[in-house]
Parts: sequence; C-alpha cells; structure tokens
Amino acid sequence: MVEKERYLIVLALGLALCNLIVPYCFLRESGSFLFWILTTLFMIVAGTAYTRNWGRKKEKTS
Amino acid sequence: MTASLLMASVGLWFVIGSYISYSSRQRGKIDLADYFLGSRRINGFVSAMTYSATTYSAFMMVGLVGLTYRYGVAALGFELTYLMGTVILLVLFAPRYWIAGRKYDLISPSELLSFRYENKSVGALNSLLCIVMLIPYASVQLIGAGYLVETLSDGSLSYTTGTVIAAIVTFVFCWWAGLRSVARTDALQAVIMFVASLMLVGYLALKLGGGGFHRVLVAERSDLLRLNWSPSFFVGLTLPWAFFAITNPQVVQRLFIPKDCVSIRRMIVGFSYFGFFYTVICCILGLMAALMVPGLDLPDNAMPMLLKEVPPAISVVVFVSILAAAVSTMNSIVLTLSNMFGRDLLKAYNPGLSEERELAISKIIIVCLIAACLLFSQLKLDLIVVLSSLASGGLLVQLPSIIGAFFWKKSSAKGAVASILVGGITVGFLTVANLKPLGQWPAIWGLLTSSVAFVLISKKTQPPKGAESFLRELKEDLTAKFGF
Repeated sequence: MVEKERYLIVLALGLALCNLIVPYCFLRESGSFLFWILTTLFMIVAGTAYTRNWGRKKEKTS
Repeated sequence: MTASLLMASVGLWFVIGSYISYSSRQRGKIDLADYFLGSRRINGFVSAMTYSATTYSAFMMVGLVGLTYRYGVAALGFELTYLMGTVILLVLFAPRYWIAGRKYDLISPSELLSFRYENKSVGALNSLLCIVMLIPYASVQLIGAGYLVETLSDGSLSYTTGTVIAAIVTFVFCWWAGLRSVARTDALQAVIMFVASLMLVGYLALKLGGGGFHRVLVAERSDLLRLNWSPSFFVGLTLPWAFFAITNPQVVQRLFIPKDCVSIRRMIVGFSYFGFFYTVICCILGLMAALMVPGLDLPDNAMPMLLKEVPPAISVVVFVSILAAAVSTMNSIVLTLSNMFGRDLLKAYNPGLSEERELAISKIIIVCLIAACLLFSQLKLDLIVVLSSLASGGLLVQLPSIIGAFFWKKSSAKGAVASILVGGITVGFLTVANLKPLGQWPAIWGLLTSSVAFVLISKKTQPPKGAESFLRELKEDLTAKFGF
C-alpha cells in the first residue's frame, strides 16, 4: 500500500465515522439528509480526483 | 395499468434486449475469458453501466422506496454510506483485481483466492459460500418481479407469470455471449432505470407543486426528516453492505473486464455518479410516496401504489425499469455463480477437464441455476427470505481473506479457510436462531469471529511460498500502470 492510499483510507474512515456520529449527535431532528448528501459527494469527488492520472502515464510514453 | 399494456411494454423491452444479447455473439472459438469476462475488452461506459445495473437491484425502487416511506431519511444515510464504501473500495481494489486477473489469467473471484493462497480449498469453500448465499438472493429478484406484475395488473397477470417472464428474460439476456450479452443489455437497463426514476420524480415534483414538496413534507411528515433508527440498527444494516464491492462475486468479477486503466477509472467514476443520483432519487420517491399514498401497512407496496397515481405512459416505463433492475442483477449473479461452479469446484478438482468442456458444463449450470431460482420463487418459503437477508452478512465473512490476499504477506491458506468457516457458521447460527448478542447484528459477530480466526491461524501457520512475489509483482504493475 502506498502513502497516497493510506491518506485516502484515513479520509474514508473519517468520513464514515462522521456519517454516523454527526447525524446521531447533532442532526437528529433535521439536517441529516443534506449532511449525508454532502459527505457522499465529497467522497465521490475525492475518488474522481484520486484516479485522474490512471492510464495517463502509459499514454504519454507510448 | 392493463395487462395488455404491461405485456406490450415487457415485449418491447425483451425484443430490444434480445437483439442486443444476440448481436453480442462472437464468431469462431470461444474461450472462458471470452464468455465470462467479455475477453477483458469492455469499454469504460459499458463497464460503468453493467457495474451499476448489477449493483442496484429491484431493491432500490421497491425496497429502498419502502424503507424511506416507513423510516424517512435514515434510509438515505444507510444507502449513501454503502455507496461511499463502494467508491473507496473500488479505488483501492479495482486496480489490484484488474492487474492480477490479467497477469495470472484469473477468471473467477474465488480463483484469485485459490491462486494467492496456493490452495484450491480456499476458492472451493469461498465458491460454496457464495452459491449458498446468492441463490436465495437471486430468487428474491424473481419473487419481486412476480409480485410487481401481479399488483400492477390488478391480478390479471398472476405471480407465476411474472416470475416466469423474469426467468426467461434473464436466460435470454445472458445465454448467447455470456458477459458480453449481460454487459450490453445491462447498459440498456441502467439507462432505462435512470431515465424512469427521473421521469417519475419529475412528474411527482410537478404534481406536488415543485419546491412546495419540501414545505409540504415539513408541514405534514416532519417525522420522516428525523433520525428514527438506533445507532446499532444503522451500523448493523450498513456494515455488511459497505463492503459489498469486494464480497459479492458478481460485482467483483466486473473488476476483471475493463479493457484498460482509463476504462477502469471511467467505470468507477460513472458508477459513483449513477449510484449517487439514483439513490437520492429513490429516497425522494419514498418521501413523496409518504405524502401521496399514506397509511400503507406494507411499505414495499409504496412504489406499486405510487404508480397507480401517475399516467400509464410513466408507470409503464417505471415498471419496466424495476423488472430491468431485477433481471440485470439476477443474470449477473447466475453467470458468475456458474463460472465459479465450473472453475473453482469442477476444474479445480478435475485438472484434466478441457476448457471447452468446462464452458459447456458452466452453461448447463446457468440453466440449472435459473430453474432452481424459479422453483424457489414458486415455493414462497419463509426460509428464502431468511437466507436472502443472510446473504450480505454471510458474504461479509470473506472480507478478512480478501484483504489479507492483497495486503498481508503472512496471511495463510489455513487462516483463510478457518476464517470463512468460523465466520459463516457464526452468521448462520445467529441468523437462524434470531440472536443478537449485546444488541449487535449477526454480520458484526461474523466479521469479528472470522477476523480473529484469520489473524490467529495465519500467525500460527506458514504463508504460501509465492505470497511475497505476488504482492511485489502487483506493486510493480500498480506503479507502472496506475502511477502509484
């Protein structure tokens, strides 16, 4: 596992914990709908950014 | 909705899908990688769509809508946490599966475990676990199709007719060209699923007065915007699904199929956005159903009842989209299980079996599996529902041996076997006995016991000789091809 992957795992674990703790501690009455949408979008954008160079290196060298 | 309209819409979908399935055939000699992996040459868009259609079953438009109808926003949290888990697991594991599949000519997910642990028992046991867990899950897709047809036709078409239609479509959409047929028909079905859900939510939003939907919801059903699941219920439901991407063989096998690194990325990104919008739409539909058809005893009836409130032109498209979701999940499961049966059970213990014969037997298994699912769906046994709910937790016990295969050089074959056995027995026993020690769900205990067994026994036993070279070669290829 490379260092970049470790950061990604830490980020994902942090978000997963937030997904449980924040709604149950602070957003029980309202707001959890928007919170879950934002955290998921953040994860998807992070995944999109993380993979942006996949395959590019090979294209440049060929 | 009239029976003739239902049958006409199913007929149109069947004809288009059959043409796509038939035209996906290849000429000349077909080998196992051609049939089960589309020759490992599927482009990014089709990979993304087949991954999405396989992952999202009829559960979304029926079960998730019903869950949101009954419990409100907690259902969204469960489904989006699952999506987040899938995205991160795909980013971490998809390149590894893809490289290993090509480098070592691996076809089934269990074959990778047998290869890595240098022990065919690991793959065989893993395949048996998947077969036991996934046949009831596949049968539930037929059961859902049967009830949907019966309900929407007001009884003009029987439950049995619905299940038989879904079984025939499943067979036709995967038979001619295997994965190539499934992937291309899945692409069609994913588009139908997405467009239908958009049409329905758009129509209902207009009917509820556009932005007024939120106002009405706050005024009339603010209880649905509150969190009304306990944290342990939320975790118990979410955890098994969060690892779906690496524990369900029908989606894992899709990690072998993209034609290049760019296609893998397109598959992950395409699936992520598809999953996000489809999930949010389904949950909004559940909330809309709570306003429009309140007071249903059975939440799973929310979608069929909602469809009676919309014009036939929209309800018929949504009906086909739900059938498409069920079929696209079922044909992927059937195709993967038939491959695992042939490769990890028959071929592993009969090395002399030729590839042609293995493929022929696997194709017979496809027919047998569909027939078995159809039979189960006719029996309407309570046991099927129990086994189906067991599936996600039962498959979770593979997790330690899968993670160990890619990230822990000391993980051993005995550790993997013990982990699957101990975890499987734990989940099976607790589910059948309906026990939740300390308030935690069987899946949690299954994962815990399988992890402990895996670590303890791996530490006490010898890892395979080739473990280090497997991990080293994988790392070298990850650096070369993915820039890690």
